[in-house]
Amino acid sequence: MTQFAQAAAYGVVQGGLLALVAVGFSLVWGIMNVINLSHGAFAVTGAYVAWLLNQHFGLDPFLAIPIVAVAMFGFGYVIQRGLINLVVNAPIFLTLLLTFGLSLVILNILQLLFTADDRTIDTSYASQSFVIGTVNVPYGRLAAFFLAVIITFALAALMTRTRLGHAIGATGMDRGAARLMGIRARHIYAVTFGIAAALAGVAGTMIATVGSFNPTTTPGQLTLDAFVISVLGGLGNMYGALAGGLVLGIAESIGGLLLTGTWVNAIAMAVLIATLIIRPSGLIGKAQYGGRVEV
Amino acid sequence: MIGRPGALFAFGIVLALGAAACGTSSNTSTSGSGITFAAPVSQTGAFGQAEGLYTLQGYKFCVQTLNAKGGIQYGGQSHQVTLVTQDDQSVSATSAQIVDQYNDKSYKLILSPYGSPATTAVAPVVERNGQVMVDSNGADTAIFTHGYKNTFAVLAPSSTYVTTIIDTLAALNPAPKTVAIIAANDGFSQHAAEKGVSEAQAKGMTVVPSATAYTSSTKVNANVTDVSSALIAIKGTNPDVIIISAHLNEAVAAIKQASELGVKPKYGFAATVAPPTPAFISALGTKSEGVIGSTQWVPELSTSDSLFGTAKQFLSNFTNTYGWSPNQYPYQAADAAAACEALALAIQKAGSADPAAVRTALAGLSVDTFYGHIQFDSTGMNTTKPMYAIQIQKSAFVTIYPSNLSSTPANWPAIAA
Repeated sequence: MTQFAQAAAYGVVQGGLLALVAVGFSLVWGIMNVINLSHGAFAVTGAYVAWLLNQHFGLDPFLAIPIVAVAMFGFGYVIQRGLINLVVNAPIFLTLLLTFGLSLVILNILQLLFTADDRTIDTSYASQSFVIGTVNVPYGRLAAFFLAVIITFALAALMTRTRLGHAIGATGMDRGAARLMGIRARHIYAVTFGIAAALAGVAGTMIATVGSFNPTTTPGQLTLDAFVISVLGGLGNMYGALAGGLVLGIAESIGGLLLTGTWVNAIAMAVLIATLIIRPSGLIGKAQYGGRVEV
Repeated sequence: MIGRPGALFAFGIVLALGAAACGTSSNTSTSGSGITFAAPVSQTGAFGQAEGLYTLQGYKFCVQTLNAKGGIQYGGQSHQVTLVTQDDQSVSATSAQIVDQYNDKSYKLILSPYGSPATTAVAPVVERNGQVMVDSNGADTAIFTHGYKNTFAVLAPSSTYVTTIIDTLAALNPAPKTVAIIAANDGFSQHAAEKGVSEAQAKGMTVVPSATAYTSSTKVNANVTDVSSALIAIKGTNPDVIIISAHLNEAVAAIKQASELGVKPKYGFAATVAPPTPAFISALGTKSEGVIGSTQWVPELSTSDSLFGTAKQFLSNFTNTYGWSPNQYPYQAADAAAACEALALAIQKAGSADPAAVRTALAGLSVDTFYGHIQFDSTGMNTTKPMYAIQIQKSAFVTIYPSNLSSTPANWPAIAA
């Protein structure tokens, strides 16, 4: 029972971290219909920014988050305006190819700059935990969980209660109609991509804090996680990534305990397939975005 | 019907292809005075960041040193060595394909890829093609159960990785009474864990949560960064020591996540491959402090050779060449350099770079080197070679086992009560 409770608790906080990774990816896919294969590279870039701030200025990763977010927003905005925007009307395969190529370029530059060694942001608290009964709850992942919840609610508020959010939503639904309403779609897309890049950077910072990262194996895994969680949670709903991340985190953790750790990937895919059979638009995705899931 | 210009064009292509073919065949290991060593080494993928890089640097350093000292001498001539490498992307099947392509180019003298899975894939290809391979970093004993005649390993086999840790722990004060073993699901890690369980039981230790847990609840996927399921399975059993039989990613994850999950061994952690690598310290920072690791080579060895000198001279020259700290040397590079040296010594002994003659020379090789004694049994393993243990102390590798090579005592228990 202790082990089950521990697995469940760990699954919840790990789910929060996974949600944090996926929320930006889901936003770009939902609004722009771009499956951004460079999302993992953006997250790792953010991780390096936070790591550099920690190494050179001793800045705590949580204090570095605003700086990372602003830097990554700018990076994402420029990348979208200068590059992604060129293919935003193109067939999905071209956007896949472009973002995959972009990922390779970013990661090779990172490897040249930092080598391929694993890095971590060493803090006194991230790997520590507090105990409830016999269950340990790690501070670092718990903070990532709360961060994911706060960001999700903030994003939902942005989308529903601000003019910018309405403009983003309108552009995602019908770009032509949005243009007729005076919305600058190009700018809105760049802002959306910038927000996603900023969120990726925040996720990367948390990963660097609770785990380790490198430019060779980490980005691909993050992009894959983000893809699975976005499909699982569903597009078109700001809470989709959070729901998908939590379900995946808990399923992997408890599944790994009941079977063995070697079954974790199979369990994740089984959960995804079962969800899509029952609800093709994902756990809480909006039906009109179902077509995008099938792309 | 081909017109005259067409015929001339076709003739030109035939000539060009013929010239290209001649160019390929003239670049073999046996022609002219040059000798080619070919190695499919991981430069990207799971091993590209650390173990593959170290292996490649070991090969390069060996060839540079060989050529600087006049190359391989036989038949009254000096033969310079060229190292040909190609990235196998840490994929075993790619390693095997590359070695097949080497054979097409008449590269018959092979230095192994990094890791047991890739070496396992390459060995039958080498055998089929009549190539000869010296294995630097594939320790799984399963490689040597197929009757291959052309594969020789300089390193100690997988069976000794965890047993050496157990022997090290048994010699410490206090010696652990209970150990838990997390093992990756690759052949090398599983075999090392299996032998480790037997050794632990022979030394009177109890393996928790069970003696077979490494095949079930504490087994994890290879090259993952989440081993929480194994740690949760261990939680509550309160082992004195947690041993990780796996590679870099799993070992780093285990030590980080153990702290998160409140899985705290009474005395400390130990791991097979990861601790004696610079990447382990850079990934874990202060959490690497006190971790014990089994290693194939330590610079305190007293043996030496004419190529690299003593073990300490090898360490100094290698770390200076590649910018490593002498306190954080990658032992995989020593494995690689020793494999390359064994191949060179066999060529010199055979007086030829012909693979059959080199194979015969390798089978009869018995030499002391900076790496220790190299001598192969009938299966191709260097079974006389012992393993050693280091502990990370103040971000430096400190040899703690065997006692005759250790100048600094182990910091034990490594975890404060």
